[in-house]
Amino acid sequence: MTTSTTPLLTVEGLNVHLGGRDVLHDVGFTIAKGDSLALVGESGSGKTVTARVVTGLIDRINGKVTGGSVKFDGQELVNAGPGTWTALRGKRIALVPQASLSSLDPVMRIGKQLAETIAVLDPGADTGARALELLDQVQMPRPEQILRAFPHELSGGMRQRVMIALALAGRPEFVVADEPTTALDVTVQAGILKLLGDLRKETGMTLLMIAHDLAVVKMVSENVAVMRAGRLIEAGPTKTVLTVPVHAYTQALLAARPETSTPGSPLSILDRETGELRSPTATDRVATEGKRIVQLDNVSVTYRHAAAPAVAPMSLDIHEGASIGIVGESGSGKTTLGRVIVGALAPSTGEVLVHGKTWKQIRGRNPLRRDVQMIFQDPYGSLTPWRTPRHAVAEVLRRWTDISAPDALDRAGQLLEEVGLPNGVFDKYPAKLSGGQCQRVGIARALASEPRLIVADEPTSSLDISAQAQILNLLMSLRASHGLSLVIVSHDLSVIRHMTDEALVMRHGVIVEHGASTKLFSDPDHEYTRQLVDATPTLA
Amino acid sequence: MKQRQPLFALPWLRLAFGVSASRTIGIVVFSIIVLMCIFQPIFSPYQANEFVAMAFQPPSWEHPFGTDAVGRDLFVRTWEGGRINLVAAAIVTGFSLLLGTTLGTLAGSSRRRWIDSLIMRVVDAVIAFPLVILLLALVVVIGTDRAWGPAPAGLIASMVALMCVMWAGYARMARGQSLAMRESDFVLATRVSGLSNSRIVLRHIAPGVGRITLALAVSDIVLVVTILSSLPFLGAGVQPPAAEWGSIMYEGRGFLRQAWWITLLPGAVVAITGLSLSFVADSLLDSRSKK
Amino acid sequence: MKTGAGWSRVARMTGQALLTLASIVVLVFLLVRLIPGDPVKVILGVEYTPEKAEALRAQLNLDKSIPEQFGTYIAGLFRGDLGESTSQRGRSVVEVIFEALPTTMSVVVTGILIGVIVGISLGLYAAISKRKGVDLAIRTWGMLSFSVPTFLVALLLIFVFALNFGWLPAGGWPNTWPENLPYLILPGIALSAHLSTTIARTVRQGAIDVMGQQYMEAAAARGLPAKTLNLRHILPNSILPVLTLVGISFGTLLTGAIIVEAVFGIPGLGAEMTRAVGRRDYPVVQGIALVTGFTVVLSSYVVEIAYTLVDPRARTL
Repeated sequence: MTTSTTPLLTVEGLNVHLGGRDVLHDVGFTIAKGDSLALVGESGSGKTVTARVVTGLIDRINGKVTGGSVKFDGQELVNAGPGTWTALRGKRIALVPQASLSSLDPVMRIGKQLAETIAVLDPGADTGARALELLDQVQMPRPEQILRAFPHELSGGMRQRVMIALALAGRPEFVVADEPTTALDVTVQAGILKLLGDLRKETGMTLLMIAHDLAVVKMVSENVAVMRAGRLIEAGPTKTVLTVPVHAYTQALLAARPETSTPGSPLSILDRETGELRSPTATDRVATEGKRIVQLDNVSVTYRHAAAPAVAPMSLDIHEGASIGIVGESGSGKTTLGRVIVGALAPSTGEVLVHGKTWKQIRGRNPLRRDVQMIFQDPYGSLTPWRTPRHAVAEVLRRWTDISAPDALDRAGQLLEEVGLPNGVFDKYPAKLSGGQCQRVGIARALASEPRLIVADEPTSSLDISAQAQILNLLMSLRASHGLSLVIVSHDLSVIRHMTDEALVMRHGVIVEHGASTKLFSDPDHEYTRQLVDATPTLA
Repeated sequence: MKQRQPLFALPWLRLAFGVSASRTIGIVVFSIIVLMCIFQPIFSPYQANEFVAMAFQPPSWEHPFGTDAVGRDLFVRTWEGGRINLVAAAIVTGFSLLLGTTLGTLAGSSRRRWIDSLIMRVVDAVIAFPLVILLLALVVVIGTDRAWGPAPAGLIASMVALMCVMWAGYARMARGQSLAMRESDFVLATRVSGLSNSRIVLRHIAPGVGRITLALAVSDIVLVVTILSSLPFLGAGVQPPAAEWGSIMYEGRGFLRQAWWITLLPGAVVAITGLSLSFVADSLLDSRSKK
Repeated sequence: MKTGAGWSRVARMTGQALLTLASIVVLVFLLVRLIPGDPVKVILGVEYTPEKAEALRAQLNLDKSIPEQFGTYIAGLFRGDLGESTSQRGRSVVEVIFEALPTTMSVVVTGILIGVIVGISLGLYAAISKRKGVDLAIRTWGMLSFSVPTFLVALLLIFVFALNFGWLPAGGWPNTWPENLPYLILPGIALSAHLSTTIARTVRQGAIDVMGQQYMEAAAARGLPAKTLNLRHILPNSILPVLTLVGISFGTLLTGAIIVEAVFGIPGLGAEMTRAVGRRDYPVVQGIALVTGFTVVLSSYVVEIAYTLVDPRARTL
């Protein structure tokens, strides 16, 4: 890439106050013209706030810059007046927001929203022609159709392209992309990242990208800056920072990615007290017999009014001690399959047998219900907001054993300790817990039934990278110590490769490949699996 | 380690004297009104239904609200009438809240579609009626002649009529909530854990539903007070000479020009009562949305 | 545009509306028959004599078996016959109702017009204005108007505008148009009090939600000026709920209209209802209940259909 040395954006000593606290402390970095920088951090790191300061949107959320300077091409942006911003916005500095469903006006057609922006930023241009030009530039198929469509009729990837098109309308020289590929499928993400790269080559624009995934950064930006708790802790060329990180936090972020460790071994995590990287020891395995626990026999699921099945007819055996992964993108049917295994959803055809009995037959207090449990994707959503962790776990204990109420509460405390929940939160309501803590409660609740098999539906997708590593380690050690079978449903190939022995790859409800995890990802048979592996950004 | 006590004590206290200033003001003002209703008639030198002075006297130290068309002290009449309004409103709202929430939760959490359909058809039909029409129709049928103990003639019929009608709003709300919750992850989790249906509904669904309907109930008390006081204007409800906010104001409607205090001062009390309760209800909703 | 799915939604809503209408018919029928005790006795009250009771029973069809009664009732409905008024000799219930209906409707329509205009303006103003005082004032005003009963609002309006200033009439009703107009103003305002508050609250919340939405921020980031943002984006999105609100509030509006009519002495359905209640004229009461119930169901039905047409998101569901 062009590495001119003229700085386009210079940030120095930036301090920002928002919502009653200081959220940015002394942040500084420089981006040269034509270059790109990625700001990486977990939630609360301050990366989004920084983006808002640079695009002049900090007032909208009632934030205040309390110190420092932000210079764009020599012009000071901090506390700049509306006149300055009118000249800059859209025409020289543009924002590409994250393309959720609510990032476009839901009652206005795409064409009209494009025309509106073009009219403001490029007065005198033929809005119709220019709109088509822009859609072309973002490599959108069938642009005429898109113009007439409403936002909710577009897929996530298409919406993101529209957001990029809108940002390009004024031919800006500096683009800030806020998490442009989060929440997109891996293959779609690859397309958007490629588009960003192509656009940079075409227009020579300078890019500031906000991301939380280090592997994505590797694919798209020459420079990276790592943020944590409002401070910039490490910055430099991507190649350098990702291969020889200096700060322990950066090291921890890298180590937390499963693809950098040996499959099956515990991931390194950052010790909060010492600030150093720690590699936990692996738990010893308890011996298991290998009996068959769950059998899916010609199971398929078709939702009412649906044209195609969510899960095409399939069969699967799950034995004791097994660890199976179900991989797929959104709409692949993997979550549906997970729920069918657990008995939360009834199959349209076929049967799910648990130790020989179908879920329909297992009613009331049948102890077979205990054997298969589930961990959910949304940690907050899976806990009843008005039950404390201790009560939630104790409830399950009392259901299945004859233990008295006070004993149940004690035993619940023990379980919560075992999953690593700090004592102080046992009796607080879920709203006061962090995402990682809520997930631990969910795991403890699942363990309370003393199951033989746990299905984990995207157990770490909603968590920060540091919490992810901890939960994955926890699952591995519990599996070893309790002799559990694990079924992990995930869209993240590296998680599956790290945690499971065998895996199923699903696409549009069909299992396209089923085999040993290591083989699947190093030497896949099916074209789609190959696509997935190729599209997945990786640090390795 | 006793976990039960703190759970019951704290949430209620936080609810009553929460952080919000408006809620505190609302509770304080409302409490003052309630206390006035309870104690003022006891300590007042005048009886509510006796002729104690010259008619049409404007407000003074002796008669803070003046006297009405037949020479009764309006101050004591207002507070005595308030007893009826507030107690009736509390009973009606409480009953509607309980019945409506129960039926609605039942409809929303039941597996059998017919229970849901049946209850909701009835609810829809009841809600479709303009409130007053249904009330008046019921009042005609129930009759307003008898007085029941301390309750003046016409009150019981109005209360019964209101109870027959108001539960429906709660039922619809409760059903919507429990239906939404039934599909939520946390309820699914309880089913996978194997908890019994009754436990799921009672401990996991109902508390969530209850919070929402409770907020509605607080603002509904205002509505019930309003409706009760409107009924005398339509020939129903508490009839004069019994003291009730509505009947007092009804009696004064013809004398607005010469003795506005007969209608407007009790009216001010009604408005303030409603306002204070609205402050409380509003802040309940606010704190909910912050979560 | 996927209109196919839209039509199935319309069909579903029509079915539900019809079902509700049917339930109303049944409910009204049951009103009299379900109350314990003898309704005839209650209706006659002090004028009870065995002969009158017999006559009334026959007139109300209460002497026949329940299925027969229901049959007569339904048959009557289809013919458009709701029975005869027991207090106004010789007039059919249908006559009574449909003479009074237009009057009540004009009051309701006036109330809706005033309520919508005032509500939307106040709501938008409260949301857009940055000054904290404005927002709080409008919210308090909202709570105030809920706490004051409609009849009190009406009486206050009479007190101030009619008696004090003498600008508008204090009541009464000339039967000709356009002399009616001044007589509609105060009643309309009184009726609109609750509605305008509910609308203002909804519009304000809607506008605040819209302003906080990501697409607003994204649009601002693209450099769209505030005026465009307000007019083209905030307005349409926050007005949408007003439509539904008016439809839902129809029942409350009818209630309010009845009370307002009683205070202002306007001879609409409210007056008829009050008179019928006073004279225990059950057929009229039942007839009005039926007609108003139908009106409310129909109005919410119409509104829901309109909503489907206006909101593009609703069409595909």
